[in-house]
Amino acid sequence: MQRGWILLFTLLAVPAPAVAQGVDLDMAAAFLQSRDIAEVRGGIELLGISQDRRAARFLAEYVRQGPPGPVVESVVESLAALGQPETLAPLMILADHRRPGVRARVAEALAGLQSPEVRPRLERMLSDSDPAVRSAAARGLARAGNRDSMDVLFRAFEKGVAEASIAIGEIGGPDDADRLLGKLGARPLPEILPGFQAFLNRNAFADGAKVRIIQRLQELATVEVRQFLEEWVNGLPRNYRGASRAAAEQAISRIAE
Amino acid sequence: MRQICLALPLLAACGGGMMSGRMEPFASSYPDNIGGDLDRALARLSSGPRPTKSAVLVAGVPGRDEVVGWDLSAGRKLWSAHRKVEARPIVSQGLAIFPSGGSIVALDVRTGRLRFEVDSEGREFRGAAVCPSTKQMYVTLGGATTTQLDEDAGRSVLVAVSDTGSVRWREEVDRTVGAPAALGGLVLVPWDQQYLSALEGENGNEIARVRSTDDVIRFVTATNEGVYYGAKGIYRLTPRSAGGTQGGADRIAPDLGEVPGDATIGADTFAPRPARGARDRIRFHWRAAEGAATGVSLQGDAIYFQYFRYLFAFAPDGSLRWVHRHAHDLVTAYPLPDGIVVAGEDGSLGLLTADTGQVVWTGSMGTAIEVAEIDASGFAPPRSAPGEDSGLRARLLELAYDTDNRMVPARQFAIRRLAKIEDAAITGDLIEIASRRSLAPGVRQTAGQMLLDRTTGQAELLAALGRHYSFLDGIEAPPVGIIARAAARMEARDALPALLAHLEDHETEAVALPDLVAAIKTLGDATAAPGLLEFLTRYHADDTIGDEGRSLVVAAEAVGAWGDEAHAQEVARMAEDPYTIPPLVTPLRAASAEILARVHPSDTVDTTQEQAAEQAVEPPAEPAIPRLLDNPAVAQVLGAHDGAVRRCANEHRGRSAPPARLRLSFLLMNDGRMSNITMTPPNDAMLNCFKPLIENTQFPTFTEARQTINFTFQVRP
Repeated sequence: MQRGWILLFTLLAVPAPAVAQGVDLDMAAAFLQSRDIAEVRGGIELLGISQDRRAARFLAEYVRQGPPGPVVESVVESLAALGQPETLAPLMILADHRRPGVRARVAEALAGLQSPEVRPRLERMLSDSDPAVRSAAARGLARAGNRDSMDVLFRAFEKGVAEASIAIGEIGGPDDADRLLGKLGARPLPEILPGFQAFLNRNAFADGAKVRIIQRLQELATVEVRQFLEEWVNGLPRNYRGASRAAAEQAISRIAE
Repeated sequence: MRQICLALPLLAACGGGMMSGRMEPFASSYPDNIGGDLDRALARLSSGPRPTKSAVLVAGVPGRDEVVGWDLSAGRKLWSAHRKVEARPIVSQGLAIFPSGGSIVALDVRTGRLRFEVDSEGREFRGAAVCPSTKQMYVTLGGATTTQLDEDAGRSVLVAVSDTGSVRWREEVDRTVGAPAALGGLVLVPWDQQYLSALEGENGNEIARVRSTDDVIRFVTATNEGVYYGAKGIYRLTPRSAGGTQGGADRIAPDLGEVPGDATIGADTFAPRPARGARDRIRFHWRAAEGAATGVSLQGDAIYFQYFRYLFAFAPDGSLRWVHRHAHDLVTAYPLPDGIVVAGEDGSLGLLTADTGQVVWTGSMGTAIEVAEIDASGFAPPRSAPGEDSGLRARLLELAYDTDNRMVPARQFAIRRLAKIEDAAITGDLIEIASRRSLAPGVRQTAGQMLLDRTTGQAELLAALGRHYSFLDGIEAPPVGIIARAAARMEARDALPALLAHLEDHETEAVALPDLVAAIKTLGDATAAPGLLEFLTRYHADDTIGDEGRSLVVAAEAVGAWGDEAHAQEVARMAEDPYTIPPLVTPLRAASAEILARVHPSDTVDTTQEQAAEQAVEPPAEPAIPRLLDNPAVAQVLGAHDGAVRRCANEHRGRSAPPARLRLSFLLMNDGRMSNITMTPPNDAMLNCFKPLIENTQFPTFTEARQTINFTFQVRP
């Protein structure tokens, strides 16, 4: 087993603050120049868990120099783990990498950064040719939580990006819920229901809007809707007695098995 | 009429026999290309009644042993008979002739009644013709079908049958004889690929022979306008035919390019007459017309090429006039002076104008048909006014975008023809076809190939390059590689920024990268160096591009040609990167050297002079300091601890056997310090035993700041 792995395993065995303090950044950076690819990977991972801004700079320079293909995804994971502003530039570079797996991880990593550059980039990634990248971009936009992305998320949803419906449900307002209700019949139910589930699961989402969703779904009166509502009600806290619960229970009772 | 026909051949036969002697047909000793013989035969051919005109279609009905006769003029079924049609029928002089159940059947074309049938002798049916003068039918039979022929059986049989069905004579020869034509009491047959013989209808005596010395003869046909023969071209039988050459004869052979399938303008009648299948659906249609004294004139001044559902109309000079896409496969067609009658397998009928291909008459038989033949020589339907002509470009595009992948060869042909149109917009059309992923690969590929030959349409190229793939917008990526090559050939330097943008775009297909980078190198200048360097940097150590890695080599060459000193440093760094893909190392080094030689010409030493100087003066023997220590250097130093490490391994092995090999790893600084010493398999006691030895080892110096050392000790044999 290579030295980098030994170190990594050792470090992972101790609590996180100790990990951050225990990483020799110079040594980890030196590993990036190793002729042993396992050591290179170990160095990348050490930098990723270091929680040190200098680690982001090492990785940024490493990205600028063009890392070997087998470790590029590890680089993105470490950048994501660092989650520091310095990681934005290398992530932006890698967002156009020819490896779809790299782009998908970049989309996830970008979502954790607070920068005005993130949202437009993630929106662009919804147009990627790779479905995994599109899904990751939709999840990233949900995580970024900016409702300005709603139009592009709806477009993605209409094009069959399933995660877009969830993103809409996670960040959309009552108007967006109505808009999604308007898609009933136009898109397959299994693609839309996760979006409504996301709306219904949000504590901060207005109960009246939830009732509207449930009543509209009730009109469909399908087995899938009944099953969906049953699962949602079963997942509610026992003591929750809001209007949406009552509406759901009423809908369940009215939809024939 | 029959009596006249019997008398005339006898008279003529005497004449022919006196000149060249009575010869058995197809004899090798018979003289060919004798002008006098041919003149006499031509005189015979021009005498007597001409073929009768009619307007009838005879067709087999799919799935049923049924044949139907259809009156084109009246638009009604004439008759139906219970007969299996085993090959495309022949409609000739009031008879419908086709093979069926081991016989060659002749039905009355107006009533469907059986006139007679002739034993096909277990041979394939090649063709038949009825003489307008004698009403005698001639049938050519070929090789065996189901039954074995005698060992000494000839390859072909030509049979003359009276209008009552009795065999007048039968000639079996070991020659390959094609389908006959009959006129003026003579029967004409092509044979052995290069001969055309005229035989007496009365007795089969040969009276004239044409031999082509520079062409192939595979068919002969007799019409009101004369006798025509040939294969790739159409010859009119005239006194000039006796020359035996293409140049001296009355002939047309339009250059149509590579039409799909293996059809020739003249049918290959040495093969069995086609049944339902590709040979029947892929063929030419033309009919001779009255014309000038020399040459060959055609009905509608056109040659038509049928490819299943498509019909292409060519002018005699080979230029494409129009194309037509029928709703169903075409079964047969018949050229008229101003158009062509077509029949589809769904029983649809139509008349297309000869000049534009627009439909001016339609009809329907109300039943599906398969193998069929038309005699529309007497057909003159009322024509409706044609609608607006969409033009050749639009119609060719219609074929290109057809979704019927059975038609791919014809669609490729249509694209090749489209590319011949001198219009800048065609460049855009070809790009669009090549871009459309839903189209068959062969179709897209042909469009791409044709794009390379375009000399106009730079604006279309630039517009296409401005397009990038977008899933949400539903935009397909253009065929960047092909467009890049076309842009390079057009010297479209304005395309450079767009080409660089595609190099940066991960959606650009890897397969396009070599052409893309090559085009940038061809069209670019120093402004392209940063973009190429970025591409190189990103993928110099990444095999994701796969087989298209040569694009990186070309990029390195271009950077070498245009780069500055900073670029040289970056390129040199990549050249020494241990993960750089191997084929790229030498081009990177060369690129760096090229830039430095250009930027610092005074530093460049002529290699020849340098070598001469080395020979003259022995250089001082100073050992060069390596950038990094190589394996032998490391082994030389650490190998000295071999015994100590083995001893430690045995002392601290615990209850188990010592490891066979022990791998030591550490980080070595160029000032001799070392850190992070680890061993595999991990064993702290063992490591602590020999660690002090390692830490006190003196390594040779090296120029890099630090180096990872990996060394394996062999503990057990």
